[in-house]
Amino acid sequence: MMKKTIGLILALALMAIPVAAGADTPVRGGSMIVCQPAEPPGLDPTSNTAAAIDRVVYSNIYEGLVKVNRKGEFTPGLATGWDLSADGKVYTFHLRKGVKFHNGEVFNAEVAKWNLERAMGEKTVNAHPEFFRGIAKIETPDADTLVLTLKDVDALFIAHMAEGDAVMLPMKGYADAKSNPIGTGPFKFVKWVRGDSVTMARFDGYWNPERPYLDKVVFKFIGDASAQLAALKAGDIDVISSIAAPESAMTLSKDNRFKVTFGTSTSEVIMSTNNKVKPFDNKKVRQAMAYAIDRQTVVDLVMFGYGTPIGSHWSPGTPYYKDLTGKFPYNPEKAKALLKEAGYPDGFSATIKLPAIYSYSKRAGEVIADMLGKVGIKLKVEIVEWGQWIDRIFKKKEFELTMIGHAEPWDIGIYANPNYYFQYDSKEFQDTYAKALKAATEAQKAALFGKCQEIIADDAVNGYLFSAPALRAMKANVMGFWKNAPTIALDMTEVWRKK
Amino acid sequence: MKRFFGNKNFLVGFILSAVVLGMALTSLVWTPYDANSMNPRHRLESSSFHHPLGTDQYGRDILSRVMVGAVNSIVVGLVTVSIGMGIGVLLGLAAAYFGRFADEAIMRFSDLLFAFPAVLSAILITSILGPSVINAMFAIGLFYIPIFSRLTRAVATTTWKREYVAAARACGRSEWAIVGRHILPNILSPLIIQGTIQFAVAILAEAGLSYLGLGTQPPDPSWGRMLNEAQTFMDMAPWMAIFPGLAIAWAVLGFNLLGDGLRDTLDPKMVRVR
Amino acid sequence: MRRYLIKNITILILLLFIISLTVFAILFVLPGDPAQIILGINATPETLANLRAELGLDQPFWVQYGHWIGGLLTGHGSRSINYDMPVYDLIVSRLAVTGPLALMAIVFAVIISIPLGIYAAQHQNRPGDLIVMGFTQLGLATPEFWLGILLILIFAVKWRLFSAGGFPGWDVSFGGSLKALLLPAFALGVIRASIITRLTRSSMLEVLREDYIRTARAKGLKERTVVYVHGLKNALIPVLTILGLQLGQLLAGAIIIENVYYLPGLGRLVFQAIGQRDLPVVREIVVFMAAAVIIVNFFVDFTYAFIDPRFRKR
Repeated sequence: MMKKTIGLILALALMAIPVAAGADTPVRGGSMIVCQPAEPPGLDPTSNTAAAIDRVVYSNIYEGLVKVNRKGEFTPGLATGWDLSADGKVYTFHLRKGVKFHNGEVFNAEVAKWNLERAMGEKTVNAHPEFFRGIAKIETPDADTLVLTLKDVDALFIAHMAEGDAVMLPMKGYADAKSNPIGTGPFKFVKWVRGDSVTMARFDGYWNPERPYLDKVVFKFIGDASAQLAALKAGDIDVISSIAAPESAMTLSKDNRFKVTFGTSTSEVIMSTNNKVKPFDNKKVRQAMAYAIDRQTVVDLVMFGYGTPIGSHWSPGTPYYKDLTGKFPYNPEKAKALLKEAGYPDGFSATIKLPAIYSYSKRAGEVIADMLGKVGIKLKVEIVEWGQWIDRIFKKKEFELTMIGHAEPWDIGIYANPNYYFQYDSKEFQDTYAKALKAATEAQKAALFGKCQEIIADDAVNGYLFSAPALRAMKANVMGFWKNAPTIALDMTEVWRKK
Repeated sequence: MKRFFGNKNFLVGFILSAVVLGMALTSLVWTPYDANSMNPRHRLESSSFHHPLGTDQYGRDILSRVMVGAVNSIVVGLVTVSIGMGIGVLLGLAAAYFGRFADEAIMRFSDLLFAFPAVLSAILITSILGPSVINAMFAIGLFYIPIFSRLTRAVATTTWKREYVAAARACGRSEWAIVGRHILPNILSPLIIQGTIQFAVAILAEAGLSYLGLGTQPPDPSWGRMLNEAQTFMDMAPWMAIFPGLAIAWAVLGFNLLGDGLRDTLDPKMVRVR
Repeated sequence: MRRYLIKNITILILLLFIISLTVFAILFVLPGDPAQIILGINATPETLANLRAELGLDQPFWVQYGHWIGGLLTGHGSRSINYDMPVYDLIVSRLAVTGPLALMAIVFAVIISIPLGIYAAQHQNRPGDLIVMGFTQLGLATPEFWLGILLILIFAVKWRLFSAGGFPGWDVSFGGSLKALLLPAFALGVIRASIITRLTRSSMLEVLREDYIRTARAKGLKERTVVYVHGLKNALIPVLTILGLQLGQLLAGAIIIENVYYLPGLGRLVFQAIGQRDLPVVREIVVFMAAAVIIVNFFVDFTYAFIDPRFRKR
C-alpha cells in the first residue's frame, strides 16, 4: 500500500492478543520464518519510505525513541519517558541507560542528537525531513537527557518520532545501513539473500534481557497469493504476515493446523477522484457516487468480508476516529436524483485507472464499475502498471478515477494540499487542519480532527470504501504475533513458538 | 468443396471452429446472462441448471463469459493476422522485386524481430503502450510480419523468374498488373494456410498475455484473464480454471486442424514456416 | 569463405549494436521514474533528485547509453536498482532455477516424443499413428499455462501430492526444489513433446524411404536393426537441432509457466523488473536473450553454408 503506517488502536484495544499464564507462558528458543509480500529496496528506514523496509527492520533491528505498542499507544522505546512543557513546544526525553548497538557502539544523547541533525540537515537522505524540521534547538544536558525545542506546537510530533524515519543509527556503523543495518533492536542482522529473504538472529546484548524469545527470524519474500499459501501448507514458512488473497483466509481458517487472525490496519482503500476535472468537480456528482456504492458489498466481494467500511479518510483503528459510514447510505435512487440535479439525467461515461500491482484495487475497481453502472455512470476500466500509475496519475494527474489504499496513518493532511493528485482545494478544510495541528489538548485534537474527517466526507472528495484488514495466517503453534497493525512493523520481539 | 470436406483434418477443424464462431456470433445477440453483471448472492456456485458452467467470484455466469470471450479471441486472431499479412506481404514483395539491398535490409529486419524473445517483447511493448487488448494485438501482429514477409518473398522470388512472367512483361504488362495477375494468386494458398495457423497461434498468445494481465482488460471477459483470476480460487471453485482453458484448447485445435486440412488439399508440398 | 565470415560477423555485430540501442531506447522512453518507484509516492522532491543523481538517471541519453555499453564491453555489468547487486549475479542465480527447469522439460519431451514418433512412423496411417497424431494436435492446442493450472488442480489441490507453486531453494532443500520443478517441467515438456513427436515421425518417414535403408532391408537385416540403428541415427539429426533451439527458447519462454508456479526464474525476474522499472536488469537480460538467439542463428547459418556452398552466394 501507499506508505508507512503508524497509528493507535483504542477502539480495538480489547482485541489485542491476550497472553495468558500457564501453558501459554512464553518460552525461549527456536526460529521462525515469516512471509512478507514485498522485498524491501534496501534496509535503511531513514532513507526510504517503502513500507517493506519498516516491516522487516523496524522494532526488530532498529528502534526509535518512541515505540508503538500492539494497542497502538505511544510507549517508551529508547526513551524511557518524555515530558512536554506547558506551551507544548519543549520535549524532554529521558533516554534508556546501557543501550548498545549491535556493533558495540553506545547509544546516548549525543548519538540521538546526531541522528536528528542528520535527518533534518541540508544533505539529508531522509524521505521525511519535514518531520524533523520543526525542531528549533537540540540540547543534551547530560548523556541520558535530550531536550528538543520546537518552533511551534506539533500535534503529530510524537507520532512522527515513532515512525521508521526516526530510528536511531550508530554514528560509526551507519554508512552501510542499506545493506548491513546496525541498530539497537532485539535482533541483529545476519544476511540478505536478494530476491529471497532477510535473516536476523537474537542480539544477546539487548537492553531487555528477557527479550526476544526467538533465536532466529527469517523474513521470506513471497508476494503471490497462491505461493504464500502453498509455502505455509508445505511447512516452508510459519507465518503469512499479510494474506494477498483474502479468499484463501476462508479455506485456511477451516484447517486446524493453522490459525487466521483478522485485525485492523491504518490503511484506507479509497476511490480517488480528480476533483478538478468534469464532471467530478461537481460536488453533487461525487455525492451521487457515494450513494451509489454499497460499501458492505464491496467488502464482501473484494475482501471476502475481511475489512471495515469507512465513511471518511480515517481508519477505525486510529484515535479520534469518527464513524461517518451513515452519511451516504447505499441508495441508488437518491444517486440518480442527484445526478439529475447535477445535469446528468442519463448519467455519463468515465475511466477508472487501476494500478496493476494491487489485486484489491483491481477487484474493487471492477466491483465499483458494476455498481456505478447501475445508476448510469459507465466506467471504463483501465489497468495501469505501477510505474505508469505514479507517473500519469500521481504526478501528472491524468485521471478521472482511480483506486488505491492509503496506508499512512495521520495522513489526512494530504487533503490540505491542493496539488495532491486528487486536487481537492477547500479553504475550510485547510484552516481546520492547520488548527488541528496546533491543538494542545486531547479534547481539542478529537474535535478538530473529527471536523476534518467530516468536511471531506460531506464533500465526498473521494469514494471512501473500506479500511484494509491486517489479515494473517500462521501455524497453530505461533504465539504472540501482533493481530493488529497499528504501525508499519512486524514486531517479532514478543513472538514465541509453543512447544 | 467436396475436396475439402473429404479431408478429415479439415472436417474436424471446420466443425470445431464453427462451434467457436457460432458461440461468438450468438453472444452478440444473446447470452444467458449479462457477461459482466455481478451478482453477489450467487458467487462461486458450481455448475447447475441456471449456470451450466458455474459462476465466478463476483457471481458472473461463466458460460456467458466464455461466449463473449470467443468474440474477443476471434477479433484478436483476425486483427493480428491482418497486421502481419498486410505489412508482411508488402515487405515480402518488395524484397523479392527489388532484390539486393532492399532484400537484405528487409530480411535483416526480420532477423531482428525474430531475435527478440517474442513473449518478452510483447510484455515490453504492452508496458510502454499500456496494457490493453489493442496493444496486445499490435504486439502479436508485429511478430507476424517477418513470418508473412519470408513466406511471400520465397514464393514471389521463384514466381518472378518464371517464363510466363517474362512473357507477360514482354507483352507490355505493368509490374503491378503482373503482381495482381500472376504473383498474388500464387501466394494466395500458402497465405491462407499460414494465416489460419497464425490465427490459432494468436489465440494462444493473447491468452498468455491476458493471463499475465497485459491483454484484455476487465471487466471484458477474455479466456486467458479468466484463468488468471481462477488461480486463487482453485480450492473453492475449480470450474473457474477448467472451462476457459477448455475453450482456448478447443478453438486453437479447431483452427490448427483447419489450417492442416487446407494445406493437405491446397498445397501438399508446403512446409510450415517456423 | 573468409569473405562470407567477415561479412556475416560484421552483420552480427551490427545487429547486436542495433538491438542494444533499441532496448536502451525503449526503456529510456518507458514512462515511470525508477527513483519514484523505489522511494514511494510520498517522497519529497529533494530525496528524489538525490536518488536520481545517485542512479545516474539525470544524465542525457547518449551519456547513459555510452556508460552502459562501455561497462558491458569492459566486463562491468550494471547493478540492479532493486536488489542492489550485479545484474550478472542475479542472472546466474535465476538461471539456477530456469536452467534446470528447461532441461527437465526437454528430458520429459524427449522421453515422451522419441518413442511415440518412432512408433507413429512405423505405423504410418494406421490407427496407432492416428491416435498419436491426434494427441500431438491436442498438445499443440493446449496453452502450457493451462496445463500447468490443471496439473496443480489434480496433483496439488485434489491429491495434495505437490505444493501449488513456490520454490524452496536448492540449498534449503534439494529434493523439495526438484519436486517444485517437476510439475512445471512436465507441463512445458508435454507441450514440446507434441512438436518433437511430429518432427521425429516425419524425419523418420523420410529416412526410411532413403536408398540405404532399402539396401539394408534388402541385405536381410532385421527390421528392428534397420529402424533403430540405421534409421534413427540419421532421423535424429534434425530432431537434435530443434531440441537445441527449444532449450534456448525455454530460457526466455518459461515466463508464463514461471508465473503459474511462482518460480523465481529468469523469466519472472524480467517480468517483475519491468514492473519495478529495474531498467538495468531488463536491459541486460533482453540483450542477453536476443544475443543468444542471434548467435545460435549465426552458427546454424554458418553450418549450412559450410555444408552447402550455394548458400554463401545468397
